[in-house]
Amino acid sequence: MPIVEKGGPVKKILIVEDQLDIQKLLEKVLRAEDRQLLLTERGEEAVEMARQFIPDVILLDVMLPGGMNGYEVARTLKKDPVTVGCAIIIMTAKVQEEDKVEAFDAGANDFIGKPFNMLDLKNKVEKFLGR
Amino acid sequence: MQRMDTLKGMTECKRGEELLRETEGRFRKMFRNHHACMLLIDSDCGRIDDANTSACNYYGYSLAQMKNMKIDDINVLSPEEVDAARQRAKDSNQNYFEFKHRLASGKIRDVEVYSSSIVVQNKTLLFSVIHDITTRKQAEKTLLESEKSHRQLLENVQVGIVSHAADTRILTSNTKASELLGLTDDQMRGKDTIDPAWCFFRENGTILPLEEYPVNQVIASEKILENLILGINRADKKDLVWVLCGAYPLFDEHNRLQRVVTHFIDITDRKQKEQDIQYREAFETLIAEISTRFVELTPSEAVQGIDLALKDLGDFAGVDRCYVFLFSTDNMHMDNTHEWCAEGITPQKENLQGFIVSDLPWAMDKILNKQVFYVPSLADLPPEAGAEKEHWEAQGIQSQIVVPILSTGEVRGFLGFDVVGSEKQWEGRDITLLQTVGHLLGNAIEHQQADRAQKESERKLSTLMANLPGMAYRCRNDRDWTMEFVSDGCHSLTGYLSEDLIENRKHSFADIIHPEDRETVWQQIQIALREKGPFQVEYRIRTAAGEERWAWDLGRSVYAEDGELLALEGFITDITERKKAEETLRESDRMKSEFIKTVAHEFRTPLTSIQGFSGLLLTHDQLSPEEQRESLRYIHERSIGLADMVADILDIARIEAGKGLSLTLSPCTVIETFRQVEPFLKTQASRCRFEVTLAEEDLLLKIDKGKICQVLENLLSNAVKFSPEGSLVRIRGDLIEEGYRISVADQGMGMTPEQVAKVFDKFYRADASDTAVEGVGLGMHIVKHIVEDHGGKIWVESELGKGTTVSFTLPLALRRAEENANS
Repeated sequence: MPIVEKGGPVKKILIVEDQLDIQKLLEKVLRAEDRQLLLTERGEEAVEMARQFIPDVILLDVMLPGGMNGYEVARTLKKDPVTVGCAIIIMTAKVQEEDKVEAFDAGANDFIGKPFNMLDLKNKVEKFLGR
Repeated sequence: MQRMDTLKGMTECKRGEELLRETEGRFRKMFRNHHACMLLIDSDCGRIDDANTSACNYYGYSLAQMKNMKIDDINVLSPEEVDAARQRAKDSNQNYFEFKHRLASGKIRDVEVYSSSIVVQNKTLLFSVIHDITTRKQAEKTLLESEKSHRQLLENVQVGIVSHAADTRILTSNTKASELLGLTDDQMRGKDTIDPAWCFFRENGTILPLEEYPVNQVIASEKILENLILGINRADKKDLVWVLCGAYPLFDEHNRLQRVVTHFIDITDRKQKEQDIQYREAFETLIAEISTRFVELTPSEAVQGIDLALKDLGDFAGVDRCYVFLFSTDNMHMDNTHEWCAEGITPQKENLQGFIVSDLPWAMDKILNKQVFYVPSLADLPPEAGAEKEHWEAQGIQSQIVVPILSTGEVRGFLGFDVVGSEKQWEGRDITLLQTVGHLLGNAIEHQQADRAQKESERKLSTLMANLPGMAYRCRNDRDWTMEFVSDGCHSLTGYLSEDLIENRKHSFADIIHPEDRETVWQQIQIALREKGPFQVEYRIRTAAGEERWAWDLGRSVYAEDGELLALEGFITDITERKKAEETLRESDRMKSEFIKTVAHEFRTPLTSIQGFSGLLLTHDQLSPEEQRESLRYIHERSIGLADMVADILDIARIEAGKGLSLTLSPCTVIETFRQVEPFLKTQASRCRFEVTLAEEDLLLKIDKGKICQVLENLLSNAVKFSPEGSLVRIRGDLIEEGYRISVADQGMGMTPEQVAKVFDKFYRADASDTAVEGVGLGMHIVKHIVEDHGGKIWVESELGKGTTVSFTLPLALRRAEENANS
């Protein structure tokens, strides 16, 4: 079940991450007054939620349980006119050059490797939130 | 962080002193309302003169209570120690302290205290500001522990790791790094000098200049450097140690280069194998060239052909002299008929005509019995070879190899190679090839000496060809490769008779080439023909028996005087074995780098959590105690996970080193063995249903309890991982002939026979795609070793889409006694 936090309706961030502790960490780092955070751990659900809520930024892990990995999620969303405008940041422990290429090929707008610097992450997210 | 607090504390103290100088009233107001805990303490007796609201709330006493207390009641140190500290603060010898303070609730907290002495209403008081640093202390402790486990990992992996500061200075390195580089820790840190001959070599044999060292390259480019192959010239080793190395930069929060980590693995063995393959290839090329050349020679040209062959072989093998001796028909005398000498070596041919065979009895006895004789160094000559020793010493020979020259089964002479200055090692395979040359020369010599009529020589030529390890040919440049001449070697190479290929009588040669390679072969040869050069093509052939083999075709074009292309001539060798060796090499290489990549990748996820939460603790002051505890719990759990991964890697290292897993066997009942995995089953109960059926629950097994628990957990977690939610996992235990059999059966996705065959391979992961199935791919490999070290067997049955069953057997503790009781 997705957890939807009530907050100011202004900016929406969708976090797709299957490791619950890292999900929690991201939630703590990115939580703010005027933001709504949407969380899920599965690729299929991420696609559905993105179509329903049209988030401003999607933080997308690559290795996800179930049938759909992060690259496939990105590809699906970038093909859909409803979600093509969502900024996708691929966030993964796969940090070889070929992994980055694959992330951008799949339509990612940005890339951040794990383990990440929290300041970097915040900056990247806020860049796409338009600050 | 600590420095920030200290600064803050000092500023607060300073500000307090300034205010005091203005008016005491303003000081009191600041003191009362300040959010930080503040106390005024009588500097002589330690009585608490005043406490602000924050301090009362923090310690849990009312102001009245506080004023009745001494600082000794709060500080857990002995009254003497507290007195001494107070004195130091009063004399301004020390302003910053770390203490443990007791709260009204009885809890002990870590605090830092900034104290300075001030005068209020003519009384000297200590003005103290107190900050709680318990959380920081805990986080520091956890970090220290997690750092310790990383350090241990660093020491144990088979990868050499060196961490440099941004100015190339070495900060840390692991034992493997010292071992590979051949440097002590002190040498690496620049405390001891390094042998001047120590340096890196590039693959092309040139010395790597300092500015191209991995660390310097990364400092210059600030980019990741990968797959650099370097040879290390060490004072303590004759040969270079080869490493595959890489390096990556680490940046601080301001994106400034902070550290460079270089890492390298030992590839010396692999490198050696590659060089062996290259050497063989070169040697085989040479033999093939010599063979092709002989095909073209007329009997009258054979003398030149032999001289040329000796020169080529001598050059290639790096010997000083090579020669051919031929026996007289009665084998009593011999003549040195051909000789080649390296530069600076005196020819001996003139002195060795009509040599009496019985003068060298030990060596000649071997040759006449068709044996090769090979003496790597003078000292290896047996005592009975006294005459030979004298002869060697006269010519300065240090090492010799001699192969008989045979023709039609008779010894006609011998082919020898001498090294004058030093010793020389020959590989068994090289000696075999030299013997082939011996055959070749024997045939050529016979050829030369025999009837020179054209017909006869052609017959001899084909005898010569029959002895070659491969197939010589002459063909037309058409799509069928129509053959004009094919040597008998064709049969052992392709399984077809040579006469069936001539003029495409039964088969064209193109039919024998693998359909997928036919076009490439045609194109490659046409390109070479345009440049009128020789050609080399590798392709697959299909033998008469339907087998696929790799062939290596070395040929050239033959032109008429007017420049018209007459034919192609060449020699085809079977290189299937070499191809296989290359493939194995590539595969093991791929597995190793895949493993390193996987391990690095698997470490990143727990590190994200550890770094993230510890960072959070260090930078976010407003976290609630629950949030702090939760963060610490994540850090703790992830460190345990890392430790498990390290344990797996260490198990593998132990297996690799042939040390085994060092089992501690003791008797344990079946039911006791299974109780160990009950907690695991409970945590997984929401994902799968488990059905456990055990025969003979009280039967005693002879096992290492902990290791068998590891086996069961591994099999069960695989079953859960690869099964749909809510499906059934069956665990059975049965007494069978070989011992006690345990099987774990799931109704999961199952595997193909190819996957089953690889399931126990090291680093194998059934699911290599990007879905989140965790693990380094070592589990099943370790499981197999544990079971087999118990003397048991393990096997897998699986059907795609239906499920998988893994079964294994364990030994009984009382097998013999039981049998006796039964009989």
